[in-house]
Amino acid sequence: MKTVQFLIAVLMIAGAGLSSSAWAQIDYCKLSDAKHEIHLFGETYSAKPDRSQMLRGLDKISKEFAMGDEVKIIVHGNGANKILKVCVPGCPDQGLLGNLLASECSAQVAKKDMVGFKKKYISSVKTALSSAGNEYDLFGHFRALEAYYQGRSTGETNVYVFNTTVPFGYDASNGASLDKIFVETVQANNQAGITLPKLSFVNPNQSKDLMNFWSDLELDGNSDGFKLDITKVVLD
Amino acid sequence: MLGYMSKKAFTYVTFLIALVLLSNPQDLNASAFQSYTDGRYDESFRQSYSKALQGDPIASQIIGMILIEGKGSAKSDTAAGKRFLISSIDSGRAESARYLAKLYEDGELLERNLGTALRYYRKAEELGASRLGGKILALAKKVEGRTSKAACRRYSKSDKKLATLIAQCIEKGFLDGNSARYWLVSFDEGEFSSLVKAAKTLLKVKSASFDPKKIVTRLPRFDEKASQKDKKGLERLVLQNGFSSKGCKAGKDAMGFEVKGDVDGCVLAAAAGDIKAISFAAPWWLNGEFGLTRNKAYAEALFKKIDSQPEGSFELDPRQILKGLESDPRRHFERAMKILDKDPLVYGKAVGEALKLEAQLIAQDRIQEFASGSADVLKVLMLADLNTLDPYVIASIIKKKNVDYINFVELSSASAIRNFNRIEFRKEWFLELLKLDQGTAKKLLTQYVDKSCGAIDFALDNPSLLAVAELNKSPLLSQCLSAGKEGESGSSFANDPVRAAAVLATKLNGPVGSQCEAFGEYLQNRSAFNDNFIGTLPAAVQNEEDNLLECEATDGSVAFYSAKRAFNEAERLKVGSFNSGKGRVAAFTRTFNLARRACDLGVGYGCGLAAFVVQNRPMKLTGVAGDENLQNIKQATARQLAQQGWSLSSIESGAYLLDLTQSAFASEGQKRDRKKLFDDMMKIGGPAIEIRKHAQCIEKDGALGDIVSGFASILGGGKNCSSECVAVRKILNIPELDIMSRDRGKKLLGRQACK
Repeated sequence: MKTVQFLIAVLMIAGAGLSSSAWAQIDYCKLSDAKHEIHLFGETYSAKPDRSQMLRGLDKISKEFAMGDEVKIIVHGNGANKILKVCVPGCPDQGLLGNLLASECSAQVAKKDMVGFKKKYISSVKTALSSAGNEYDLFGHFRALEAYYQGRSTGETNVYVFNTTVPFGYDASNGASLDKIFVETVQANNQAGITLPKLSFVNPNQSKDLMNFWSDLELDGNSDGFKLDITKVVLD
Repeated sequence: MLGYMSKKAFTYVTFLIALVLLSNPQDLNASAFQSYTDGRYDESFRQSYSKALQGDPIASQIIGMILIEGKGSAKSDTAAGKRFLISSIDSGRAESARYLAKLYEDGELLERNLGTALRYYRKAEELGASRLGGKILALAKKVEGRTSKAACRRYSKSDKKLATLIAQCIEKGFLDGNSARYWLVSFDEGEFSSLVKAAKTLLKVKSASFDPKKIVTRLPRFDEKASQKDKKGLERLVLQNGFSSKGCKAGKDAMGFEVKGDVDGCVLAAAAGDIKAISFAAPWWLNGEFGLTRNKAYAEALFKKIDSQPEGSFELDPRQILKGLESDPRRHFERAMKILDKDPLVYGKAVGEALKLEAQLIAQDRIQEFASGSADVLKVLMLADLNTLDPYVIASIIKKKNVDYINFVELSSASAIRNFNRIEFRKEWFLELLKLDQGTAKKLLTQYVDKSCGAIDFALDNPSLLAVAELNKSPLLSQCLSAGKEGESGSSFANDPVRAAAVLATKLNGPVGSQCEAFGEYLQNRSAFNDNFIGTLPAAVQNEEDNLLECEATDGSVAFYSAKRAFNEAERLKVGSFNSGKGRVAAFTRTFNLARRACDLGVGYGCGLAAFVVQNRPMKLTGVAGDENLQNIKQATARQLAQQGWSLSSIESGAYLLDLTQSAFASEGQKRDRKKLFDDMMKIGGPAIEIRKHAQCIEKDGALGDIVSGFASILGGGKNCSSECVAVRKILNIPELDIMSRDRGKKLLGRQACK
């Protein structure tokens, strides 16, 4: 709990710095080829523990960002998405680089931009989480991802998906709720035909019931079974 | 609706529980089933779904059921549900087939389709489900028809209620067996038209199944229950197969064995309305004869057919009908009257004979058994053929008519009198009547002798019952007497002297001299008549001498009787006594005259006697001139008379003619004629000719023979005629031996050969 509060505070400070940045700076994006894409499915985070896990994950991920990395945040919700694309601000080390770009980069501006960067980052998270508790279609989420990566390659991009993978309506206190969802899912055949690139789901709900649910949805390898080839990443 | 669905759901749950219990638990996804049965349909669904997709039959069944019924969270999806169920069925799940079948049958969750339901029920059974026979059969009947091949194969032949269908199935070739047998069972179970169908086979004469009795035994019930259309149908079959009244026979053959004829054919013909056959069959049914089970109602129904026929449109056999009703006198009488009403002329005789039954009851004072009132009794007395009755019954009826029922004026009617007058006289009933009422009997006998030879015979045999004078009034008397007694060649004093005497007495009745022919007969049988006649002697007998004098002039027999008596009297006159000569001559002359009169009146023996007297006894022959050779005239007269007697077939005269023609000096022609006469007489035989035969030995040849035989006896040679002499001696002991032969015999015994 304390960790979450702290993180939010840091992000707010950083956001404040970004807001005063001046864009006469060099193009940060030229400083790195690395790309990060973060999909936020805030609707699925109705449960507080899930939200905590989400933020932890985001924190961890953000620590991986390097100067000039392209960070694309896609906030999914209500069948649409908002995309924030920004490169991590920063000026290269002159001594080490000794190039023109370093001379053109204002460290002061970069700091401001960093603050702005953080604000946007946090804002996106807020936006995402603002839809938590809304009714959602989990398989719609998967299909949105599928649609998003239609024609896109993920080869050079670190993709992080924040989705609890908890179907809407799941009641952890009522095991039968998953049965109901199962029935509705397969009867609607929602689980079938979804094809996604290999993606990392960061800190999804790890309850056993849910795991079984997904397992059952695979339908023992039936062609109509759920075939989402994802990697569950736990960043704690 | 919700309530209804819940109820339906409950039904299916229950159904499934049964399935679980009935199925092999090792093959089941027990948990899924448990969830289902516990109402945790979503859980059950989730547990089963992937397996169902893999083709697991039980899981498929569960998913199919949930989808079709929309159990739990599942939306009703009959198409998907059916797919799962079909998959389950294809994988061998019988219960899925049963379930799906039921859905199609009920038509609530799936559109009702009995054909499909039937198909899945069959599939279920094929996959091993049990107790579906009845369901499949019921559906097969609805869908494919009650006699479809599939339905037929489901029928249990032992189920009598299915007999109609089984029979139809057999006829369609869907089942083996004899359809007629099942048609009969069907009939017995109340499907009355089935008898007509059974009859198609059972009445076909050339069919291996030909068995009309099976139809016959069911006719009464058929007649009672079947429709007019069916009855017409059976009638057509009976006629088509040739059953008719020709088969109707009853009674006994010449050897006394019962003759049945074709009972079944006759009964069938009756059922088809053949009135003549009904004449036989109705009584058979009524009495339970010839193997038929007694059935009064059916018999009555057959009788009604007769009653309903228009007059003249049928051939009725009243005798047969009424014979069959004899066990029920009241019905017998009623039916007899009905038949009579139809046509008295046609049926009167038969009915009259049949009323014998009622007549017997009258005789036995049991009239209440047939009659409703005195009118019925009177009808019987007026209509019955009384001659067919037993003697006692006739006698009793006559007595009742004349005594007991004397006050019923109907019995004085012309028809009643006519009927009683038809009674033919018979000794048997008359004797019974005598026992019952002698007065009536005597009165009747007086009437009957006027019209019945039998009565005359009886009266003659029983003279105490009827005065001869009464009998003589009968116009039939002469005719009957000449005809002789019934059943006999004719009464004579030899075989029936009492009757012969009685008959003769009737002939003798009348004033003296008026019955000479009968008197002649009397004289010939005088002794027997007097020994056997009962009653008052006729005047002719009482005044015999007067009558002799009256009749000897006109009647040959009487004349001959007098001639013999005169001859015997003449013979008794001693020769040489005072006036004996004239007296003998007169007596022999009278004998000759009487004998000759008898001869002229046709008594051949008289001719012989006259010839004998004229040849051998002294007499005065009238009409002979004095110059004539008297001896030659007598000889010629004797020959002529003997010849006349022989021509009248008198053996006595013929024999004497042989004596007259015997001569040692006869010509060859005379010898030949005599030999022929002898041979002819030998063919006739008798003591007269026997005497002449024996004479041949005793007398040898002519007059010399005596001398020769005398020498022979002395010399110890010649022919021994002792046996002939013995024979002659015996013949002379015969009282009836004629005078001429007796004289000849005596002479023979006096000859040397017999000494």
